[in-house]
Amino acid sequence: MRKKSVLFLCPAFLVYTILLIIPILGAFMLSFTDWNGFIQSPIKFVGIKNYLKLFSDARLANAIGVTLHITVAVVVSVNIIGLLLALLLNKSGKLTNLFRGIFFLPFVLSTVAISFIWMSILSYTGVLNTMLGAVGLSSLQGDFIGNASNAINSICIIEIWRMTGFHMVIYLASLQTVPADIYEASTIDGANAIQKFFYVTLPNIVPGITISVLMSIINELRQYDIVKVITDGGPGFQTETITYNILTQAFGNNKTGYSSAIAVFLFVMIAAIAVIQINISNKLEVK
Amino acid sequence: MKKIVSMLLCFGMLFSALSGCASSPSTTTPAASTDATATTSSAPASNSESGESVKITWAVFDTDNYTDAFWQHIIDAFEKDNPNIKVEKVLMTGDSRPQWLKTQLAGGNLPDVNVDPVELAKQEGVYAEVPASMLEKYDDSVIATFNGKHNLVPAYKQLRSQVYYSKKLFASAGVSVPTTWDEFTNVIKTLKAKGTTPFITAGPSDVWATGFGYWQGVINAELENKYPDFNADLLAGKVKWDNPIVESALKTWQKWYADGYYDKGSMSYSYTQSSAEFLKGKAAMMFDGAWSAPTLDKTKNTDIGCFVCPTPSGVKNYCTMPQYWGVSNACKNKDAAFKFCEYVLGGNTEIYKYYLQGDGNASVTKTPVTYDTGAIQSQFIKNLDDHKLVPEITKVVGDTALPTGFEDYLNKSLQTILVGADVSKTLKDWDTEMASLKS
Repeated sequence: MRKKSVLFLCPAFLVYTILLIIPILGAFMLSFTDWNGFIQSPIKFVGIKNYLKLFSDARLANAIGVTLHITVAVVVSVNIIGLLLALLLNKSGKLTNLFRGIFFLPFVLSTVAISFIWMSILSYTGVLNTMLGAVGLSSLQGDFIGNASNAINSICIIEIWRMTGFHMVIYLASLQTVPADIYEASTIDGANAIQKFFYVTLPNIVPGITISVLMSIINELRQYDIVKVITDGGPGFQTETITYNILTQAFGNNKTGYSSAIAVFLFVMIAAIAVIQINISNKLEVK
Repeated sequence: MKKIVSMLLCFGMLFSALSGCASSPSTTTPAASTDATATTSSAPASNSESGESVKITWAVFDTDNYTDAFWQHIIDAFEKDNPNIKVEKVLMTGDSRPQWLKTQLAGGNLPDVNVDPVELAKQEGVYAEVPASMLEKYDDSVIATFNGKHNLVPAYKQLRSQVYYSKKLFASAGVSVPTTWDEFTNVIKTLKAKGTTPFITAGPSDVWATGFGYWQGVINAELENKYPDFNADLLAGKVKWDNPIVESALKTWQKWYADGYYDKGSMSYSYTQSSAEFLKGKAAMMFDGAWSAPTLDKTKNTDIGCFVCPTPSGVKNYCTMPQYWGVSNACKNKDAAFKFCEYVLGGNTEIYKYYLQGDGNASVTKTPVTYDTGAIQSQFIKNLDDHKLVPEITKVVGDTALPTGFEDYLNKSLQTILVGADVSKTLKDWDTEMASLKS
């Protein structure tokens, strides 16, 4: 019986191994070479040279800074706003499902499509500046894409708009797991709404917070699509992210070995953050 | 009942998954891991010489001038004269044709005939050697050598850039076409003083466009004047990017932007947007390529003129970008592929003329091929009469080409310089990046 049930795991395990494990191991091995990505070219082992280069690469350092900026801004925002929306939409009402759908909709749209739409909104001659001019707020018009600091903030806003609905859904599911009798007991004890939130809701949704925060961190550390379409990492290198840098090194500079080293570095960074966060969450979880 | 429905759903999913994994009817062959050459998507077929039908694939791209109908016209003409060779267009997508080609090569799907193959040609074994008899038709100056081999077919020379200007805005500001650097800077300041934005350019989504024109017209001109073998000297370490000529020119350009001589929205525009805004009169001048002249002529635009950007030292030179076609080394019908290249690139004079005329390019055959040009394109060509031809540093092909990736790095760097980066530090970074990419 046990052997038969293991057989059912084989297809998924094979797909997982072929599409995930083997490429990860391949990237790890390539990170110790100077391969340029062409089958015709030899693969030469260079030891840890690529990893040493990571520490002196100014362009990569800038990309790490941009990625961390986007990650911190988006992770904090989507989790706070997502939780607030979940609290508001937790109780069923006439329009609850409609609003849940509206907030979730951006997540299901194609990232590239929404990037182009936002570009037409944020461009200097786009919808936003035109509307600001039309209502007499010309002083607020600006270059939301071509100016470096504005561009990073624009990317953060688009990403927050896109992901909040998804995190709202995670928190909604978490809120459903909080036992109603605890709320009843706290009401009897005279707790107000804020006290209920901090002493009943929050401790009981720590697993949901863990999942939501972890997923948002992983997602934002791999940010690429919106940056590529809206700013192409520009102006210059000022909105390049780590993933953008990986792809540039691999396909633009023909430095597949070095780009693999950056990818391994990103993998280790994400894994470390995940382990730290799970450890913290385990301590905060209500048993 | 539930069990039956579940089983049916499972089989349905399994069936659709297996259908998705099935290979397509086209004859794409996977790249062999031990085979040193890339494979192609053309149908294995007998030699065209024997009269049996063969098919070759041709990688092309889309622009305002190079439309699907444009390429199809060339294919139709060739197939009419060569009925046993079929040509299938493959559209190169994305904003980087070299990267698209590299992706296709990695997937074993490199088309048989490639337009814009220069980056890949640096890798040995990707493109087939061009028959010597075919190369005899072309100017010696455009024959490219990679690792001692000639593996690219010369296609055309692009005349690169000049300053396009609005005659109406010039007249309103009371300025005329400048012929010296001092006149040029006076024109810029006068336009600004009269409330007209002097320049417009494009930003991040078309990174090549930001510095385009100023780089070719001023910096390239001055560098080639001072260092006639700049590329060779740079690669040998005899000259550096961090030199007074480049620094001075970039600081001037940066100051223009800081002083508001560029349209405020420039850095958020795509190239298409900036062109459209220029034609609407948002700025008096735009550095743009030779390809715009035939497009403007087609729309019978009489307001736009063009002039060669003067240089600080007064040197009068211009650069051209040679372009090539390549035949994949893995092509199973090389004879047919080279026959197609030869037909389009000079073999059929009318078709070659049609190809050149599409984007306003110049021929590279020993016997020049000319064509009728409109008013703006004629002006563009006439402006170069007393100018000397020099190489374009970032577009040199062959053994003195800059390392792969440097041109993109330079274009992005020009954007950071325009918006205020420290020029001296940035130029030192250029030298560091060159060394890194060469290693």
